[in-house]
Amino acid sequence: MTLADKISNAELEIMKILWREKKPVSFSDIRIELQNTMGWEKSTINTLIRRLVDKGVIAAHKQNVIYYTPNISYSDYSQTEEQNFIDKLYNGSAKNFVAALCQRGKLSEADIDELKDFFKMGGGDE
Amino acid sequence: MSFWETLSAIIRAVLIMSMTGSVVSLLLFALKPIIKNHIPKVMQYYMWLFVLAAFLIPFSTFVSVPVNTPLTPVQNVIEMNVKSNAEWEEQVAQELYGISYEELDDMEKVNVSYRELKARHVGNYDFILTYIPILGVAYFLKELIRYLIYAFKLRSGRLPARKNELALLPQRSPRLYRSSLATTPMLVGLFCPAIYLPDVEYSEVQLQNILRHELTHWRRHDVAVKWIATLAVHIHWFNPFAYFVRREIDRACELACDEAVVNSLDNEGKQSYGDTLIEMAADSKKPMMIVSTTMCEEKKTLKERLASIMHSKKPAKAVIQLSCALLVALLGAIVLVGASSNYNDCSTVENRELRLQTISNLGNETTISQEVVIDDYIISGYTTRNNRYGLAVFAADGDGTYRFQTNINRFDDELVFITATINHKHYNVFWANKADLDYAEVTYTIDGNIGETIKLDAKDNKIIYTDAPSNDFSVEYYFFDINGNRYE
Repeated sequence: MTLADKISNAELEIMKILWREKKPVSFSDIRIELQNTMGWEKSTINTLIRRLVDKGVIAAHKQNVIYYTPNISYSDYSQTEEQNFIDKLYNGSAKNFVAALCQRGKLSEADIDELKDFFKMGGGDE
Repeated sequence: MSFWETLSAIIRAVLIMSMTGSVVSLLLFALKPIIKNHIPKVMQYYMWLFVLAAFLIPFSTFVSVPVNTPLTPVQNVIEMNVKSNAEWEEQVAQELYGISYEELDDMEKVNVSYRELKARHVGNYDFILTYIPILGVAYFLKELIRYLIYAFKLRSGRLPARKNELALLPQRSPRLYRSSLATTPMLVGLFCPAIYLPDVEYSEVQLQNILRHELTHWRRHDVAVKWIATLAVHIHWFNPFAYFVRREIDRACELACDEAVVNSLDNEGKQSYGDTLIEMAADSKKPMMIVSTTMCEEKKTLKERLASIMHSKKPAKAVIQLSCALLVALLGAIVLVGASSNYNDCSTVENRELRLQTISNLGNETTISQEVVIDDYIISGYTTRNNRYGLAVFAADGDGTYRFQTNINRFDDELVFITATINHKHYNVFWANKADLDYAEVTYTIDGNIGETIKLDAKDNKIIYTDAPSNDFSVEYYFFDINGNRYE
């Protein structure tokens, strides 16, 4: 799962502020704006920010007070969103209308190793 | 035929196809473990395509096989119960009054429409009939639109393929593109097919293997097959077997494709092909967090494909012949199961007999020994198992076909007596199943007045009938054989 997959709709509101400001934003600035626009409680905003930090989506930086910067740019995020949307279309419906080679991205590294060990044609290769 | 009649006929055909397809797919699922490793994958693919045909071709509408299968009673239930409002009204009118619904007077029509609704506890059959196609069409449209959006996005963001990639294409081939949105190489498009490659780096060997695979899909028109299978799943959206069959077709398609590709490869080529498949299935863009192995579906199918490549060999002639024989046998089974419902037209005595045999307490030993025609209705006298015998009434549908209407049976030490309403007239029908019958005597008592005794010929076990009086009556009847024995 990439960084972009980990952002919920509520957390997105915080990301929008960071992307717009294009410079580190303090907790109180975020809080004041969201309390005005969304009517959220301080504790809610606190939780959302903490989650984003834990997931590595934003970075926290202390300079008297804590400032936050995004770890993913808006363009990267929207491209992944688009890819997620496409993937959902494919996995949901489109794959029934096309002839593909295989299913990509569903196997773990250990799975791949297992299959590589498994698939050995005899006769002079080893 | 009115719209509703056509619709109910279509839905009956769909239900029968659904049943045929399900039964045949069960047969193939049962066979699968036996033939899996012994029949060429392409033959197995064709077998599943035959099953798909069973879901889509209504054999019963143009082929008639006068044979009962264990499915026949189910087919009868469908024929008897899936009807539009107008068809139900017509049937009840025939049963109650012996004439068609439009010939009834207003009071009788109200009686029929009211009784029919009340007795069957359901409001509007026409309305219910529409659910099946409407839901199927809506579901299909939703899927189709999602595919079209996907195909559009793929197409609008596509990049040209590289020169070395284009050089690998044969003279006749679909177009080739790269796309950052494609997650696997795929063949897209029904009318203007194109191969889309994920926009990453490929080695020459990988490209060759990928293109061999996709070109095989292209030559076999596998995209059209997928479209047809998806259509079938939505026509039969209510039937879980349709989904199982589509999944089998998908699997068989890939296995058959791999088989065709590796057929012309040596061991080294096969190793390279399998390696390419594994490499394509691995994902370098989004590495999975999970380090341990999974039991997921994708791994199992890929493993199955790899095993098939490892064990691939050119099939012996005998094996090919056996496979063709199996295909023909499967087709025969499909036609047999699918078409054997058509005898519900009871215009021949064989079909009438077959129809009676499907009635639950009658069975295969039911034979018709006598028949009489009253005003274009056929009354059949039959004997059956457990020392029972009886009479069955078949009503004319007007277009030359006949439909089973009602029946009554008794132990053969009793006499059979029914009242049949035919074209607004009432008849009393009598029958006895004794040896050496001579005649019968029937005496009516109408409104308390005892009438004359009517003597009727009963030789050769004829079915006997008289006009029934319209008023209140009671009737006494006796049969006599040539030795003077009397039966009552």
